[in-house]
Amino acid sequence: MPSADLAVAVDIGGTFTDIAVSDRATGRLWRAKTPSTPADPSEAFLIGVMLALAEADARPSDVGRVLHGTTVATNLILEGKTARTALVTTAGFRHVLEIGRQDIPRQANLFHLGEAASPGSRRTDPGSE
Amino acid sequence: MPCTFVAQENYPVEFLELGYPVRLRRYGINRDSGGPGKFRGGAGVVREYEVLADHGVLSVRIDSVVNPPWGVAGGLQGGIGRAVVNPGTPHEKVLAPLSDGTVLRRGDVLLLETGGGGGHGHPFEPPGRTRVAGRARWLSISVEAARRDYGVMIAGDTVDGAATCAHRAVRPAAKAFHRKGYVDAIG
Repeated sequence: MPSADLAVAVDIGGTFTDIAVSDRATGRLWRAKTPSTPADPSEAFLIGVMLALAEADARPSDVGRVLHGTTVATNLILEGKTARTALVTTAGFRHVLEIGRQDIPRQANLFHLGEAASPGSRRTDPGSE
Repeated sequence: MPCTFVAQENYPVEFLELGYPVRLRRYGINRDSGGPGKFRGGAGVVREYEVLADHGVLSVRIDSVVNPPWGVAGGLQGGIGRAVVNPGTPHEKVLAPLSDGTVLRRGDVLLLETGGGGGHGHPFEPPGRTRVAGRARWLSISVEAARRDYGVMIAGDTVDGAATCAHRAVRPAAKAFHRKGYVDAIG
């Protein structure tokens, strides 16, 4: 049974929304994946969290921390479908959109899964890193 | 110190600053480093590091400083790279492109500029000339280079059409290759 110290991470992408639930006391990890809902990204956020919590046999009150990242803003910029928008950057970094790319060191990925995740939820053994 | 940073790679600033005792003060396009042409060469980048450790030793390996990439078919050479310690100060020191043993101390600033690719085709030809205004707005081409290399006169955010036509009436002659001047053949 999960402790009351679950961490939930939500990554909203253009196609799928990925959720990971971590029990930091035991190191157990559960994941879920659901189609993104571009008209209102919060729908997939909540659906995905409930899927992942069900997989973990946990309740929302068990969650102590929520982490959230998304490519929604990146996709808006790439597609140019924004309202008239100002970009505010740190001095010296005004070319960030012109550069438009970056390389992430592979070891920065916390978990490497042996197979591609598919829609629906399943448990992932943290030992499979 | 973890050896995860390769200078050439386009890592996020946060990764660099987590792993090394430096602060990145500037990361951007090296303006005017893309060789002008009908198809502009790719631009290099500028990074400015501030040293946060007491002491460090720097080795530099940068190409395209002495021999920048050729421009082809009327295009101009790519811009050159350089490495400078404490630029714009009385202690400014330009480093050799292949150099070792430069000692850096806390507060020193290292400026690294990488060179760009050579241009292809005469820069007065579209689409090169028509893209200049957008590039100038993003600061990868200066207003001066737009005039000198592309014959495009920029006033504010827009192209001054009449001045551009007048300026472009005299088109610089070109040869097959360009590096520090046009040549017919690479010998």
